Amino acid sequence: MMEMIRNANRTRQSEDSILLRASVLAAVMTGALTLTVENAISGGMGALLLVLLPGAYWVSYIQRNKDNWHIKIALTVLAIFALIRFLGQLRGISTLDEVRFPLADLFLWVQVLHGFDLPARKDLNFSLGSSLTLMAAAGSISQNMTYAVMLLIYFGFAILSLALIHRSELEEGAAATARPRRERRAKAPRTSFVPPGGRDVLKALGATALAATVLFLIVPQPTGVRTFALPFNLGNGIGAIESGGGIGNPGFPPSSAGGAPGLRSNGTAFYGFDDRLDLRTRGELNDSLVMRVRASAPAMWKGIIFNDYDGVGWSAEENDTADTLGSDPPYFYPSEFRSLGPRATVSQTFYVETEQPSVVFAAGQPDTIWFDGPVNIDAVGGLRLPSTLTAGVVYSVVSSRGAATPEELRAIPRRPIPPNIQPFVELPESVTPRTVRLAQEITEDATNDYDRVRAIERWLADNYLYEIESPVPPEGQDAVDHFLFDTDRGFCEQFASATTLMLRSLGIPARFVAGYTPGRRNPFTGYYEVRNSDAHTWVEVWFPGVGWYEFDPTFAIPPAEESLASSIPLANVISFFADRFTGLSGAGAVLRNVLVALLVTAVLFGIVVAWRRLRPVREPAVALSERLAPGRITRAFRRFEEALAQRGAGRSPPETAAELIARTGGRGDPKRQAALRAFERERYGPAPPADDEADSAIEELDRLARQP
Amino acid sequence: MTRRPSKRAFMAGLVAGLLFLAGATAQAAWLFVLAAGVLGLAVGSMLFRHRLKSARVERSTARRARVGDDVRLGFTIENDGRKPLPLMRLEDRFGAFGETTVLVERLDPGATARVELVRSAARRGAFSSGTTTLTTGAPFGFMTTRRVIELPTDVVVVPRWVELRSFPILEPSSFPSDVLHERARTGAGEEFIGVRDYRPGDPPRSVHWKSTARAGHLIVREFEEEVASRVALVLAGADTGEPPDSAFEMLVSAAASIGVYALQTGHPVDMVRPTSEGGVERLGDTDRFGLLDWLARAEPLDAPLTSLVAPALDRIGRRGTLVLLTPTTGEAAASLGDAVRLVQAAGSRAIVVAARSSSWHSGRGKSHSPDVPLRLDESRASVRMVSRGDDLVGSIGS
Repeated sequence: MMEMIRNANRTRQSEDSILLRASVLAAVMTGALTLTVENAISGGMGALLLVLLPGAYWVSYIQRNKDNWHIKIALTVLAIFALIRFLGQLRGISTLDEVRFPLADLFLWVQVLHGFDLPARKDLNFSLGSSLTLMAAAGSISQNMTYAVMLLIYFGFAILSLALIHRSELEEGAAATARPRRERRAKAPRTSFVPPGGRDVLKALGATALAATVLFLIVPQPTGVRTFALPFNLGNGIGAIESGGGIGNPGFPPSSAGGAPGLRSNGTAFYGFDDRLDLRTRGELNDSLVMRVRASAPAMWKGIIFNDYDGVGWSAEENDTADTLGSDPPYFYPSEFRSLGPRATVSQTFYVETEQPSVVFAAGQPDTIWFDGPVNIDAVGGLRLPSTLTAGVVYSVVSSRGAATPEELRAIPRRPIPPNIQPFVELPESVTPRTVRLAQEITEDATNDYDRVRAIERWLADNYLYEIESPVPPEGQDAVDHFLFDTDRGFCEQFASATTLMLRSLGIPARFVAGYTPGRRNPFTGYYEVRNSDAHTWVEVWFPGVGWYEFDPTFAIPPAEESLASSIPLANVISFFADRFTGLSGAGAVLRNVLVALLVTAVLFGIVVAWRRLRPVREPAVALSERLAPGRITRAFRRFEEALAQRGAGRSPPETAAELIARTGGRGDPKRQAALRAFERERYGPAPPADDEADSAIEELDRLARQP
Repeated sequence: MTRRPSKRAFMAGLVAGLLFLAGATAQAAWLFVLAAGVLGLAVGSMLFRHRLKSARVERSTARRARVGDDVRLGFTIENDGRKPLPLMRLEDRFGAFGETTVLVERLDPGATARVELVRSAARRGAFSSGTTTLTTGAPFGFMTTRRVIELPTDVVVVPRWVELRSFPILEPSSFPSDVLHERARTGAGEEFIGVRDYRPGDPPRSVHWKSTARAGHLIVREFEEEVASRVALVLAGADTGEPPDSAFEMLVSAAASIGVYALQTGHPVDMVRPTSEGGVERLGDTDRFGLLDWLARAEPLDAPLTSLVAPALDRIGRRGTLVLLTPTTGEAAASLGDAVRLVQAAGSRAIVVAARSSSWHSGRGKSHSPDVPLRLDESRASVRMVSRGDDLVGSIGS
């Protein structure tokens, strides 16, 4: 019995290449190191594994020719322990998303245990393949470009391993190796630090990089909805600044929060993330990263809803009027604030990098909120927190956004405005009559509310300049009036305020909201990187029956339903360059045209090269040696062979011509035997057969080829 | 030349697809990068064209070998193109030596690689061609290119033979009456027998003048005629077992051993075997090389020995030795008794070498033909039975 077990475990063909083992080990260790760098496992655990892995590989090398049944039994027991440990770790997690971390831990331990028993090439192959799971686990966690460095290192080792594995495959069972000897005809060797085989690997690396880049650029990157695995945790803990009845803004002390006339933005935080936003404040924001958002689609990350305008600024609801949303996450958005009609779902996870105000940023309507702590809601549906969001906080929201088409919105008739929406059509006394008249003039041709909104948007976009350092309205003048009739320039706050007030003057419910634009999507990490400078204000317009829809005269609101084309990285690259190259004139335009021509030429050249290399090769399965020019009898014999192949009785590689003739019933046939002799003489004889003999042979072979 | 993606390429595609799905589900774009990298490996490898067409391969080996002998087998691979040839695997299927595999290192343009191995000649036969397959998937094994080349190489692998100490070939002295009869003729040999009266036709130089003077009429000297009896080997019968370990192969070796012995002892040797067309193929007055080459081409063909004996007797005439080599199954075995009688009736000696086919039966699988009774009880034929594993020297050489 024991002998049977030993025989079953005995390695048939052990792998002796130390270099192959070392390269696979390096690939596995890179995977383990990447998981450590991405904090999927603790530093101590990572260090332990990185010490254990080389030891394991060394043991498997010296034991490669033995049955190792005792090692296998020990590894089985240890694998069971690792599984028990994994199951134990699962008890401490709160979301499915967190399973990735113990799972990565389990993968690593399996790698280490498997490392003790890698006798053959197929085991190393498996180990290399499973190291990819380590990189994938790390990649699913990674939020930054450090992973790119680790990925390059990993691919370097993986490619080296693949080259060595293939060499081992070609070498299997080989009785000897034929090495080149220097001939006079051979080219003189070039001085190079790269060995000859290495040059092929380097070329392949280049081809791989090219193919991978092209594939990455042209393959769409669809994003699914992950409502089952949304992470949230408090990270560095409760924020230092408590909201204390209002919105706490870490960038500004309460005295200056919300802005003031003459106040300059400090660039590190948006003053408008407060209970009040003063339209007389100026100053740019820097590009510091404030948060990363993993989202199924780009959206405006709304933080605060402002409803009251007082002539110089907007006010939000006081926090002390806010109610708490339930006791434990997930929290559900109250039904009285929910919109109906066609909706598109957006799932988001926010990773806060810099301390943020005490609000919950989320796209559109936050239907479900996973936040590790209490969440409040104000009187108009804005989400508030007891304290600021500290760096490291992670929370998730599943939102819905209005997805009615323009046609559907146009078809909505005006209806009486419900009482809870009534505050959003109220105009303060400061709004001047000429503002109201302007709104009416702009929209006089529009027949529905949607077209009225679009008309105002378009009119503002066409007639006003976007300028951060626009003139500040003088004391006593309405800020919107000053923007519309005196300066003709402003930035998002002026545009959004003017749109909101003009819509309200037309009896269309509208509100002024503040938050962040989607930010730039990092095509490698997949995260939207939101920076200070992405802070923004825009407009939400209420339509009867379908609720709030976002509009913005200064920024293209991402559509609720994203097209597949927009998820193609190449489209984004083209759009990036197109944005920068459109409107060029003179030398710039020439340069653009040259670049476009070069690009088109490169694409056409690439297509031709790819076709030449990838087209199928049509040659006979058995080729004659080049030293033998096929004679006419040989060609006739080939025709006979092809005819046999078409009948499903083709010639097998080891079958000789005589055996083929015998198999096809020609053993006793003098004509066929004569044809065979003629063929053999033409192929192998010192002189070809006489013409009449050759003619007879060809006639006979062609007759055989024609036979059914 | 064929070029197709390997299993590894399909596996890479599958892994890339899974990574892509995981990336889309988990909204992790790094997995798209990883998927593009894995798929890029496969696609990038496809952009590499292996120019195996520029590889010229030659096989070199001894033109003649004996079954079981170690033979030097060489391969020369030359890159006749303008691009390097990648790392390759050369698999040679040449009937004489079975399969041989060689790893060929990367070859720069114009470079030549040569390797020489020692291989055992595995099969008897005359081989003129075999296929050589060049395979490569360099550098990563995602795209495999194969080129099959038919390489002509003429090799004759002759059967194994053993040095027999003795074999009962009929000698002239075995028939005293015939010897006397032979003496009635003027011999051409060198051994002086005596003198006799002149007969018309005797050469003048044979006249013994002293005796003529004494007798008063012409007396001539007489020498013994050197008459070495001829030996014919008749080989026929179906095979049992798997060559080279089979009944027919054993008979071929026996025939080679007897033939070599006969030639060594000065007997002219004739060979007779059936052809696949139902005829008879003969080889007469051959030397050792001709004999062994002829046996190298012998095929196991069953035919009645009676039809082969007559042509053999034509060659050896009376007083020759006819060795009938047959397995104990089939028509050849069934006709053995009659064939022996024909030989004996013609005045020659019949020696039977029979391979006991049943000893090569595997004991499982398909049913085998039983041994045929040889029916030689009444004949005076000398019979040598050989079985699987027998030592030929002991079995037929005593």
